[in-house]
Amino acid sequence: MTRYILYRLLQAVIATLGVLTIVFVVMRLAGDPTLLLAPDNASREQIEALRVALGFDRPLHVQYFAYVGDLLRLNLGESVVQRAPAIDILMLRLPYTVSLALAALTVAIGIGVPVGVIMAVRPDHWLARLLGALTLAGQSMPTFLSGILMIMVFAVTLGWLPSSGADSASGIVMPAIALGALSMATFARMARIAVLDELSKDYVRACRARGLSIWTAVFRHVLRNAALPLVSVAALEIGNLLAGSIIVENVFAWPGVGQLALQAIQSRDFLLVQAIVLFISVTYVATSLAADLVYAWIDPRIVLARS
Amino acid sequence: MAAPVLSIHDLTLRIAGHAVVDRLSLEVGEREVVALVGESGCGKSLTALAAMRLLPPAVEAVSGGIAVGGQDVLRLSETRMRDLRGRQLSIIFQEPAASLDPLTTVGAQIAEAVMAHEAVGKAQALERARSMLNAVGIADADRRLRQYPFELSGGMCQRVMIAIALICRPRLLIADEPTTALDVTIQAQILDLMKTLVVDRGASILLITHDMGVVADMADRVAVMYAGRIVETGPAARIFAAPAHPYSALLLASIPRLSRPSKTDLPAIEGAVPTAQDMPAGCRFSTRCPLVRDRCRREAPPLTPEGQGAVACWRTADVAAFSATLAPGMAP
Amino acid sequence: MIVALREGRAVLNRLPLAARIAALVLALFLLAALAAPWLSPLDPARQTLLARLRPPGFTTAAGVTYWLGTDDLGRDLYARLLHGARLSIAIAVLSVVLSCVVGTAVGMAAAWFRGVTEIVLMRLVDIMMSIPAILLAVLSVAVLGPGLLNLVIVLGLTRWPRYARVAYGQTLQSATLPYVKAAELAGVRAPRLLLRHILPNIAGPLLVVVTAEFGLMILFEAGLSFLGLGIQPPDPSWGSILSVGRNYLERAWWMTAFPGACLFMLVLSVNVLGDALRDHLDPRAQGR
Repeated sequence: MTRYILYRLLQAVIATLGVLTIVFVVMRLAGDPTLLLAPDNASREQIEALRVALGFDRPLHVQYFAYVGDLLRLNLGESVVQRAPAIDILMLRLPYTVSLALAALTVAIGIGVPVGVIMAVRPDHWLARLLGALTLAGQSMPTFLSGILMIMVFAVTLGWLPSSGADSASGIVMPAIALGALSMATFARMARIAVLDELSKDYVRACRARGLSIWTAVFRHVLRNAALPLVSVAALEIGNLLAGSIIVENVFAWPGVGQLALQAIQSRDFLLVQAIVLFISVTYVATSLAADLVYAWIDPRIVLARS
Repeated sequence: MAAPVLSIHDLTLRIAGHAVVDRLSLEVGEREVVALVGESGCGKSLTALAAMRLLPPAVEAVSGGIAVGGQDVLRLSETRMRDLRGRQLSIIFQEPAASLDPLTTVGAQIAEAVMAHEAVGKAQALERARSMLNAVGIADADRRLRQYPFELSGGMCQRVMIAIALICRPRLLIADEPTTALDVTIQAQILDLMKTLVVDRGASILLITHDMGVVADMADRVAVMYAGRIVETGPAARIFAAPAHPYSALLLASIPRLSRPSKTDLPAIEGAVPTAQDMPAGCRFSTRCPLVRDRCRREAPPLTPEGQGAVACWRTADVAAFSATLAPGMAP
Repeated sequence: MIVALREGRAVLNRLPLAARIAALVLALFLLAALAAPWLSPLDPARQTLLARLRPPGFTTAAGVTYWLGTDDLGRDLYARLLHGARLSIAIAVLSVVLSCVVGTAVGMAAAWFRGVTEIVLMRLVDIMMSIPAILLAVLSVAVLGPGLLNLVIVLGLTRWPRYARVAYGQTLQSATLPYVKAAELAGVRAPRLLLRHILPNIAGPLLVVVTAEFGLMILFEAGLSFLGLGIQPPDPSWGSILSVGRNYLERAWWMTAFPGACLFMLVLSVNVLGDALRDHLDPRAQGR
């Protein structure tokens, strides 16, 4: 068990370093990053001064080590536009995005898993076919489109929900659904496969032989067995949800990290953009690691085999 | 004579259009152990599953009748059938460890069987589970109740499955190859346990197996099955002493026995069971039968009463002589 | 080429009805995209500020009919949708080709040469898959600037790991096939082996990935254009039309409904066709 933990940690460290490196490379794809950050009308002296101030005049490998060193100390650089440490700006907006991501995850699991279970237990039922078709449709709809459609129906036409912003609590409903919609399809698909897999096993037949109905067997036994692989899926989806927030927050004017990223791009605040991309990517690696460790921990066979 | 506990009448099961079980009739009386014997794939497990209405989705058509304690099981609603399962009739399978939910304690699973049929609370159900564990010969029942299936050996798991199957005192226990996956040393114990707990308490067993040795230990009556049809039935003693069907004779002869003269070949049955598409029109055993005649290939012999049982063969009169040739120097 | 077409038609005939309808819809879109300049009588870039935000079917005094209405600058929506289809599909096709070629090459190389090559390449694949694609795309476009070529490069280079993974696994399996081993022993060199013997084998599963990715690329491009990072005005893109349409939800529903419907139907038909192909080619890979 400890060997597995160490191996997994090592994998995560390598992945993190890899992510840092890729972002480092991408930032320099167009050449000297100073040119990206300098205002349009800056003079050559001003650009030179900026280059030295930001350290872009140093040799590449020196820059790289300084970059990694900074990141390890959680120094994500300073926003050139807002003149404040990037990490502070991020932390201000983070709670909004996290709450949105969690709400979206709840929607995705809360609807996706039951849909998948129904499709597995009663595949020929009309409800299962309908849900299957809706899931496919959900995967074909981009998040911004479903977001806009929801605004059109629920805010503009019916007036039930606010069309944008985080001023009222109900403002989170539509963005959460829009963001969760794609993940919903993934959870439905994964849940269906996991449950189908379990249904073919002997213990389900034995449950029915005892006089339990198929649904009782599903709720009491199958779901718990099928849930284990879903934990890993949930962790990966968190990363996707965080990334998808860029679009959804834009559609609904939700004041989170995603909207911050877009504003940063529009104001050419590339250090802030870099900070956001790094932050989300590393979070993705971390949640993936956490999921694997939790999975190994809750499976009683592994737990009890240890003791 | 009391009504039979289980009465299967003209049961036909079809998969992909082929009759994998063909007009099968079988009865199990009170306090009886009936063995249903045959090679793998002859349809005996499907017959058992049909009685429990637990057939896999691949089986597309079921006709005939199965009566359990007077009720036609094939025509009951699913709700009524759930009532019967575990209470009037139970089944145990070949792989006991796989038949238990790996994430639930053993005790909870046994208690579940009680609570599904009787209005008792969890504590009371666990009490019943504990005494049942004792009855099936598992020591230290308190500790075992709280354990998970992977902590038990194969033999213990099968004892647990027997406990679950019998806790509501069913009238019929169906055992589908209950000892095939277990150590030889455990086999006898499990079989004895079944006999004690079931027959001694007034219930019956339908034992499904391909192992004639197990049959010799346990069965009162035997039904021999080949390619979806019953070929012979009768009291166990009679079938062992004087089989009336060539297939039964060959099955018996293939059991290794110490009394066999050494250095003689163990008789094997030539060929293999025909596939569903290649099933012959007449007797299904005609492709491998050493006593085959033209009539056998054309006309399927009906199951005709013979002694205290029945046999489906045109040449049953010649089987005794054939039997003798298979077992030189062996007393019947 | 002819053989491929004939085989393709044979496969198509064996697919379920829904998939055949999807293929038809997809073909219609492709045709519309190719023939855009000839199918739209009106110029998509021509602004008529007097005819701003007109509903579908509006006909001017001069007898010009705007079948799907006009946008906020008085441009014909129908024409803009057609040309937008052209651009979006072109970008999707090009980026899929780019990422497929790069990814397949990497995957096959890793699986064939094993050793250090394998470790390094597959680690790279893992790391690249650790960054959510849209983030990488947004960052890259921000750095490189928008524009058709940059868009294709960015989309192509963020998605190649998917192809690499599949190509890797499938090549590992194919490498053990008897006739591949025989060819190897007969002295056939690596590049020829990979191209002539292994590639046809792994083409099936790769095709499954291609269809899934094609739909995703359409969605990606639409998303990036929606954010203003993709196709730049005045060039039309369904995504950017939707972005503007968001501001006119109450006054001009057609600016949202029609591009939205186009996007949905195109991606849906790609997904349906892709699912059917997957079931046909590799039934074990359900719900990957």
